[in-house]
Amino acid sequence: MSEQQMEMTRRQLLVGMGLAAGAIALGRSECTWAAPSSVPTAPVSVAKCRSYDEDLAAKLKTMFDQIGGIGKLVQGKTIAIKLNLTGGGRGFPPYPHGDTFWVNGKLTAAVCHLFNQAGAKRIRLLESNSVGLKVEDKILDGGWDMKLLKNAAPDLEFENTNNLGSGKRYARLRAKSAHPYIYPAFDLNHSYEDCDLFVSLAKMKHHEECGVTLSMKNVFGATPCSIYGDDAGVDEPNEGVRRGRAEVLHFGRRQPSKSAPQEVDLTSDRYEGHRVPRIVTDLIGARPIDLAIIDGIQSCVGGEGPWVPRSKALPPGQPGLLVVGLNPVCTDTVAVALMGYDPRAEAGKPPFKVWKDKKQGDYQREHGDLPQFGDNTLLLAEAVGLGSAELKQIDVRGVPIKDAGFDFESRRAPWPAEAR
Amino acid sequence: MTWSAGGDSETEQQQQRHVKAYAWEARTRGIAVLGLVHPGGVPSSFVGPAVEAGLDGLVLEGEFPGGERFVSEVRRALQSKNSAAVVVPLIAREKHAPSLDTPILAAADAVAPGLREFARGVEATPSSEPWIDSNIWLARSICSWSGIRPVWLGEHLATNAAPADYLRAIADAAVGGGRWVVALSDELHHGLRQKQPEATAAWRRIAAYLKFQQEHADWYEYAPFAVYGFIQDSSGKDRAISGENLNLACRQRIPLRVIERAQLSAAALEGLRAVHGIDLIQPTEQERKILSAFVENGGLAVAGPSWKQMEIPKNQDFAVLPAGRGRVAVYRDEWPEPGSLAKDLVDLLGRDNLGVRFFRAASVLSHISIDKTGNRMLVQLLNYASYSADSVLVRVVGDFRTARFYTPESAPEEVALEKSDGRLEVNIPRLPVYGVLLLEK
Repeated sequence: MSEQQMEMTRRQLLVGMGLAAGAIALGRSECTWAAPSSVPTAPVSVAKCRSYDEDLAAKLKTMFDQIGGIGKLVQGKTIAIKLNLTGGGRGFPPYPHGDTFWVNGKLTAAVCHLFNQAGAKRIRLLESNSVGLKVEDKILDGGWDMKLLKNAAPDLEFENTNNLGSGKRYARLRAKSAHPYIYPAFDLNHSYEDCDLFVSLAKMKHHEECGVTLSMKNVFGATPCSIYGDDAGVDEPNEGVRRGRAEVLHFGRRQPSKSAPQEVDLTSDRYEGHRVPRIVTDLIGARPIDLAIIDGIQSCVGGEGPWVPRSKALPPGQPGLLVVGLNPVCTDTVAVALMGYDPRAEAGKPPFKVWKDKKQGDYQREHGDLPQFGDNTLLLAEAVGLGSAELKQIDVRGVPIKDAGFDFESRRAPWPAEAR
Repeated sequence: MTWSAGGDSETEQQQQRHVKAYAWEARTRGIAVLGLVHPGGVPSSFVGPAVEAGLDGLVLEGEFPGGERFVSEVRRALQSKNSAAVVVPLIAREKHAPSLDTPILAAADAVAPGLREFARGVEATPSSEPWIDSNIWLARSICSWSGIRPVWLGEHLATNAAPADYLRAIADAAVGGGRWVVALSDELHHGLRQKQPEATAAWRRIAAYLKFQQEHADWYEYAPFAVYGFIQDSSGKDRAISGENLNLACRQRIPLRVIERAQLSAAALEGLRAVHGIDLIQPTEQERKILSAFVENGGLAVAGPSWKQMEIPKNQDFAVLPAGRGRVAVYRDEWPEPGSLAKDLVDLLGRDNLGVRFFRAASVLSHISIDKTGNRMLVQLLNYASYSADSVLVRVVGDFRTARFYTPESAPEEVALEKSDGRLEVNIPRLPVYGVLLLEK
C-alpha cells in the first residue's frame, strides 16, 4: 500500500467516524495511526454570568452539580489548579488583568472556596512565572485580592512551576497515546504529578497561534522553561532560566535539555501553527485535565494578551459565560461553539485562522510565505482519543449553546488586508 | 524667552523689544527672565541688548561654533559689561561633566516623558512591560555630582500635549531631583492669551505642580534610599550605554544611588547590597580593593570581564563567583545588553531584597529617599500612562507607623499601613499622574 493510499484509507476511516474535517487538520506523520474506535465524552455545564461581582460560588456549585458534583473528586484530595496568568505588563487598561486576559481572581477564590468546603486536603495554585517571581506576587501585581483568596481557602499553596520550584526532581509524565505528535513525555514541576485532581482554570479568549485559549491550551504553560525555554540548559535544566519557549516548543529550533524526553520526529514540520497544537495535545495526554473550568465572564479578542497586535479587551459583561466540564476536549468543544465557531473547523478557518505580520514575526524562517494557520487542537486531541470534539456527542447542561453564544469573530479588529 | 536666533537684525530687534518689555513687567512680579539663544548670531550682537534689557541670563541651546569656547565668549562679553547674568549651555548629558563651569546644569537630550506600547527594537512578548520614556535617570545621573547647582531638563513636548503631559514633565524632572524648563505649546500660549477656560485650567494645574515642587523643596534633598550602588564614570567614553544601563535599572524600580567613579570609596558603598561595576572597564587597584572588600563583607559586585578571566557557561551572559561572604557576577561582555542586565540585577538581588516593591504599577516609576534621621521615607510615584494607575500597592520593609499621601492637586491624605508577612503595605487607590507617599516612624 502506497503512502497516498494509506492516507486515503485513514481519511475514509475518519469520515466513517465523523472526523473528516479533523483529517484535513492532521498532518502526514499521523496518517498511519489507527484511529481510536471510540472517544470519551462527558457532560459540560454552561452558565451565563455577567459580572465577577455575582455570587460566583453559588453559580459554580450549581454547575458542578450539573456535571455530577465534585464531592468525591475533591474530598481528602490534593488538588492542583493550573491558572491562566499568561504575561503581564500593562494589560488592557482600565481593566485589571483578571478581567481580560488572565483568569479572574474572584472566580479563582470561588473555586478554592468550593474545593475547601468540599473537604480538599490541599489546594495548590500553579503557574509558570519568571523564575524568582512568586505566584503570589504575580497575582498581586495583576490586581487580584490576596485576602479574598486566602479567606476562600486559608491553607492555599502556590508554586511557580517554571523550574524545579520547591521540588527535588522533575516529574516525568508520559503521553498516554501510543502515537505522540511531538513529545512522548514531558519533565514537569513535581506539582503536576503530586496531585489527585488536576484542574485547568482557563480564560475563554483567542490565541495568536492556536486560534483559541481554553482549558487545554492553558496547560502549555505547565512546561518549565528551565527545560523548554530558549536558554534552557543543553544537558541539564537551567534553574535560572530567563527566556520563553519560542525556540524549543514553538519552532523546534533546538531540543529541550537532554535530561528530558526529546522529539519523536526531528524531520517534522517546524511551523508553530503545526507544532503548538500538537504539543498541547501531547501535554493533555501526559497530564490529563480532571476538571476544566473556563472563565468567559469578561475577556479579550484578537489574541491571548495585550502584546498581540490588534488584540483588545471586551467590555464588562462580555462574553458573560462560564463553562465547566470533566473532559477538557468536550469542554473546549462546547466553549468554541459558544464563541460562535464550528469546533470542527479546519486549520486556516476561524477560529483557527491566524495571521502574524511577516515583517515583525520570525515564524517565516520555518514557514516561508505559505498560508498561515493554526491546527485544530480539538480534532488533534480527539484523534488520539482524549475526548470527543463532536457537539452532538456532548451532553450540554445548564444554558443551551444557542441561548448563550457570543460572537467572538465579529468583535475582532478587522484582519489586515493580506489576511482577508 | 527667545532672545536671538541668528535672524536678520530687524527681526531680532523686534523680538528683543518684546522680550525687554516682558522682562520689565516680569521683574516687577519677582520673575527672573532668561533669554534663549540659538546658533546663528555672534555674542557682540545679542549680549549688549540682553544686558540693556536686564535679562537674568542667557541659555545657549543648540550646537554653537567652537562649543565651549563660544560659551566662554558669551560669559566674557557679559562680564565686560559688568553683568551678573548667568550663561547656561543647554547640552547633551554626554557633554556634562563635574568640571563644567556653569551655575546651572541643563540637559538638552531629555525626552518627553510618557508611555509607549511598542518601542523600536523592543519585541512585544507576554512578559514585556510597557516602554516608559523617562528622565528620572538623567536627572539623577547629573544630580549625583552637581552639588548645589540646579539641574534643568529642556525637553519639548508634542504640539498637541495634554495638560497631564505638562504635569508629567514637571514631576518627571522633580522625581530625579531636577526641574523642567516649562515650555508651553503655541496652542496653549494662544489659549492663555485668549483666556480660554481649558487653557486657564491647564495653566492652573501646571502652576500647582510647580508650586508643589517649590513648597516641598526640602524633600528633594533627601538622600536616595538604595540597595544598589550604580558607579558611573562621567569621563568614560561609553556614556550612552552607561546611561542606558542606569535608565533601565531605574525602570526596574531598583532602589539605587548613583556614585560618581571619582567618589568611589568604602563609605560610598555603605548600606548597599550590590554595586554596579560595569562602568569600571579597567578597575584601578584602589577600585578593585574597595569592591573586593565590599564583596568580602557580603555584598554583590556586578563586573565586566576584566574582573577575572573565567569560563562563562554557554547560553549564559555571566557567571557568579563566590568571594568571602559575597559574590561577584562576572559578565562575558564589557557592555552587556542593557535590557538583560537590568533584569539580571533584579534576579541577582532578589525581589524580596529590594526594600521597597511596587505592585499593579506597570506604568509607574518611583524614587525613594530618606531624611537624615532615617525616620522619614519618601516614595515618589509617577504614572507615565495617560490613564490613571489604580490600586498601586507599595510594599516596604521598615517599622513605619504612619503614612500620608500627597499630590499637587489635592489635600494630603492619611493612608492605611497594613502588615503583611512582616512587611508593610500601602494601597494608593488612584494615581492619575504624580504623588508622594511619606512614611514616618
